[in-house]
Amino acid sequence: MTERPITRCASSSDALRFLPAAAFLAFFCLSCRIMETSAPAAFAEPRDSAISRILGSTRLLASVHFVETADRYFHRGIGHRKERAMEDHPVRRLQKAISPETVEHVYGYDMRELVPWLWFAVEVNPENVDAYLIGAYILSRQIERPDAAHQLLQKGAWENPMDYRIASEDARVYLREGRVADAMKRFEAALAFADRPQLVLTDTLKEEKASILTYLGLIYESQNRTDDAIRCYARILELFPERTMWRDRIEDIRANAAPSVLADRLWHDTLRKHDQERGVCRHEEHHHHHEEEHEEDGPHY
Amino acid sequence: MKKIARILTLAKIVLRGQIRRKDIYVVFMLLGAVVVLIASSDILGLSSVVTYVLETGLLAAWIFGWILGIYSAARELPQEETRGTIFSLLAKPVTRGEIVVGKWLGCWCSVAAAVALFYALVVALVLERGGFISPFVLFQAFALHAGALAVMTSLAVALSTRMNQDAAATLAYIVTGASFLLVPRIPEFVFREAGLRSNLFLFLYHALPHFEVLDMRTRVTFGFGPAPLWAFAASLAYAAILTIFFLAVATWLYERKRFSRSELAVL
Repeated sequence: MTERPITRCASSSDALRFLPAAAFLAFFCLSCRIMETSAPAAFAEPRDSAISRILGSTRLLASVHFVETADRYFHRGIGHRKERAMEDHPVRRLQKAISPETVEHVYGYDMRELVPWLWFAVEVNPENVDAYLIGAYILSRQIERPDAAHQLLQKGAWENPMDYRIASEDARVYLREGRVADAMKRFEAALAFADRPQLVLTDTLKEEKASILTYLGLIYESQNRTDDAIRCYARILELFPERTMWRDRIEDIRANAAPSVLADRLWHDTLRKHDQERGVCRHEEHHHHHEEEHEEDGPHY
Repeated sequence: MKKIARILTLAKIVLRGQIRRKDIYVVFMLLGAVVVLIASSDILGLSSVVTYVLETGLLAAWIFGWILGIYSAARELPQEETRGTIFSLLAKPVTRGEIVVGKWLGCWCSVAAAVALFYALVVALVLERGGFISPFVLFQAFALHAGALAVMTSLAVALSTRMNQDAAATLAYIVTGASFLLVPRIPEFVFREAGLRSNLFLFLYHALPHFEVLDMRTRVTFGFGPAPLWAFAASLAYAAILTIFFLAVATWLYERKRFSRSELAVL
């Protein structure tokens, strides 16, 4: 009588039994790996926002809606003027008396009321860069809260680490505060982000690069870093050869002659011009009220 | 006088029933929690920002009144019929018209009171954040909101005279929802469209109720001051006429309704 062994080695038939399970596990791991690496960035879920996880892809629409709500607040809850029929209908007259439809804008400190909606816009879609930029402009320029503007842009930089627009706006906020050294660092970062070879050189990017180079060149010039300043101005000329004032400025620096406008004066003027351009509200309704286009102190929507 | 007393007695019974039920509290707490959550969020240290709290709160008050008003008004008559208690009610010296008006009045008062509480919550949140709302503008806004609730509840009651609870509520939600979202934009569509489409929009504009003349949220939220008195009075009159019309239709339909115990047993 032979005794059965208590333990025995796994035979080849036993090993085969586990083969489908092992293969399933391997394929599952592989598919997870492939999906993780091949998912396009545009469809990737944001990192850790609970709101974003709940909303899914609708967060993109929600974010756009919140920015539009901020725009409506800028127009004092009315929004843009719309062409309507039946203006003399009794119900329409009653409606206009109950809910005003005259387009007005909010100014200065009142513009703080727009900020929550821009904050919600970036909460539900942290990649909505425009919302960060408009919010930072209102906070620093309209309600004199540069600290809050930096906080918002810091969040934007954390969520969009290589975005040149956020770095550039942060630098402008520093410049408005008079913190030139900090502004220079942020402009240098913005230029490095804008110079990435992955970016296609569109007209917008060209303009933004020229703007960054202008500020950076003027800051270098004010610090007597003439070689760096000349390099910046030369790059502007590469982008826009028709802007000959930079050629003259380069020649002035090389000839050691005093420039017609001092660098710090020029960057303040550029900053003010930039703010005015962003503050213009060029919507149809204004042309009904004013003969000429006017500039208003508000964010550019 | 006796007629009014009977209607008030019926309304009181409905009101007590509404208080006993838990749905008002649940909806109140859910929407209240959302508003409190939004109001309590600290956004970049801007503590004095209140407009978004006010706007969100008033929107929640409208949604709260809309959900609750139609749901409770569409429930009253079909429930009496399903339970068979309508027979004992009709056996009493009360007309069908009085039942319809009493049921509507009870629903409207309970919902208006709940909405008033919601307004109080929103105002408390705004004042706590350092905001200000003109009491007269707030009164106007609430009075017109109550008018809108009267129209909604009377429409739901009218539909519930010939439909079961779910069908009446669904149809009332669709009609009022379309009135809220579509009707105020019809003048824009008519401006752009032509021919048959334009005529269809014009038909809808004249057929559906105009809740936009009862909605003062923009005025309250963005500080436009009180509405002109003529407009306020005209809007209230519009709400009253529409409510009376729906109640008259409801009474007419209910008086012609035949009840049989066998049919009710199926329900």
